[in-house]
Amino acid sequence: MKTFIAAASRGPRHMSVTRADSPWARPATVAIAVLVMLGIAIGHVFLIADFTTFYLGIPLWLWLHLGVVAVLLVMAWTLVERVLAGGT
Amino acid sequence: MPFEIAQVIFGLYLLLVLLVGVVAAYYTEHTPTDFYLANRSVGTAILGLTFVATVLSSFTVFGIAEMSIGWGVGTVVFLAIAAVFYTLVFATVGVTLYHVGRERDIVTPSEYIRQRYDSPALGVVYLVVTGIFMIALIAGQIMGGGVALDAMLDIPFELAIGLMAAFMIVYIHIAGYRGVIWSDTLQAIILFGALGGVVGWVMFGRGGTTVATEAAEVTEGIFTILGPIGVWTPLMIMTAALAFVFGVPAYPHMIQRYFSAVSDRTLRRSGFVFAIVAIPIYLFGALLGTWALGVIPAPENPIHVVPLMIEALMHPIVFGIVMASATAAIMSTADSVALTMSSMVSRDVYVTYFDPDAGAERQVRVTQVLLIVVILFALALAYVQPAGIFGLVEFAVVGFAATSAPVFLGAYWERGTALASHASLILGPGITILFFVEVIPATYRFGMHYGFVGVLFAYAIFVAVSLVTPTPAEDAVRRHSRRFSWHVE
Repeated sequence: MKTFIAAASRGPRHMSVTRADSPWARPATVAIAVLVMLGIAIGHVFLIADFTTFYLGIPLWLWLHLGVVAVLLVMAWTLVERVLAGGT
Repeated sequence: MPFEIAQVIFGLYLLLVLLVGVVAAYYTEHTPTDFYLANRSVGTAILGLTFVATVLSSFTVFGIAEMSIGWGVGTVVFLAIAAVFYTLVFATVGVTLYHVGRERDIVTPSEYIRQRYDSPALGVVYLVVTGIFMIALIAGQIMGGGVALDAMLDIPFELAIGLMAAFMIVYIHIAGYRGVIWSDTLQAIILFGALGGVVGWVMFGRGGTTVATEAAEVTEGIFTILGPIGVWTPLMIMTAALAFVFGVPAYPHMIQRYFSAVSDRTLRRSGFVFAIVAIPIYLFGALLGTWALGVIPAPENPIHVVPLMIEALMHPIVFGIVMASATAAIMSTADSVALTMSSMVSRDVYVTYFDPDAGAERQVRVTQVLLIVVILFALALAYVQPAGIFGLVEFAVVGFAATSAPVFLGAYWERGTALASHASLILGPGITILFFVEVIPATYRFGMHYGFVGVLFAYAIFVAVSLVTPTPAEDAVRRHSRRFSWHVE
């Protein structure tokens, strides 16, 4: 697994792929990461719905949602710059 | 007197935007690559902000508020989630199209379709189908502009939208793509600042919680995720988000922006510029719409609630700036769509079928004439007002989503065929349209967003038909698609 992820993450610095690395490493890594992000995107909606207290006119669930969105953006950035940037 | 101050501010701002366009026009060459793509020289910040101004428009200032009043502040959730995933689409499909566009000197998305599938007819089909949704999108913008002028200057809606159309025809005609993106940059910054400033003032100056509490008393459930009528279930949120994830990056005018990036790194990072600027703006629109109920409990027309609220609470100068920025954002979307559509017709119909020897200057001139035709079509639709602003723009977004399979899959899947693209482009959007006009009852979307159902059909049809039909010439496929794996040295 570590070799798998290491190979998929090598893109930005190393354009070559060794014979031992699978050509499916990158697509699989991207697919897994996207599924995790989708899981967080939908899953957090179930968890935050009951937090309705207002802070500065915004319900708490919305503040929490914005926090989750920020985390998802960081994940997206990592995926784009560490995995996707090297292979097109 | 306050009304006159707002008029002056509004007028001065529009003159400023026009001045930016005039200066940009001075640097614009009458060649297709420069007039349509600014010579593929657009950097990260401007590309990101033109994405913002192009995507965010009447939908943002008026449409989100309109929907938030009816469906609650939870309207913002799917928009924010979608914006996160746009970054991934830009970094994959967008970057691939950037490379192919640069290598093959491709200027329009229909040109890409025509070459990828080795089918001039398919390029026309793509143009016609996306043209339906582009006209709807422009009409939504004109309607939003009419709202602004109606609220600001007390001009009847019908006359207001006529004035908007006339202004856009002049502005786009002289500016080209460089003028569009320079003014987009200014408009995105002003829109963010103006709406953010109003939200900040309500939060800290009026007492946001007090305003929100008063609004919540008017409409129960408006500040819950689900909303007052239970629209935003988790299934609806995710399917709406996914419909937009397939739709927004598939806008023909977005695809044309991929072609205009100066580098693939620029394109990847501009997606994050978009998300960082656009998500707060979505939030501002939803908050203002719901908070407005605490100020205007029974708006005669929900579309008007944001300008009415701002007029009631803010200084006329602020009112003028906000209305000017909203109207300018509206025009930044409309001019992008109109420019793309007319460039597609010019390059992929006029040049391909009628005048293959047309020089660069003539191509641009034809585009400028077509701009007038496109805007007049949209004006006619705006007069009819077939739906609210959000409904019309939403229809356009999910319509584009249903046209994305030949582009998104064609960029990576060598097995994709022209016949499959034809089928997908006709049946996918067809399903979407039938849901929109309610020929297919809502029960048949099983709680999902109707646009997502259209996307499922479009992609399923594309894959299924591709597997049983001949692929295009190997050369066409190899030159216009990329493998989604590491290149082996």
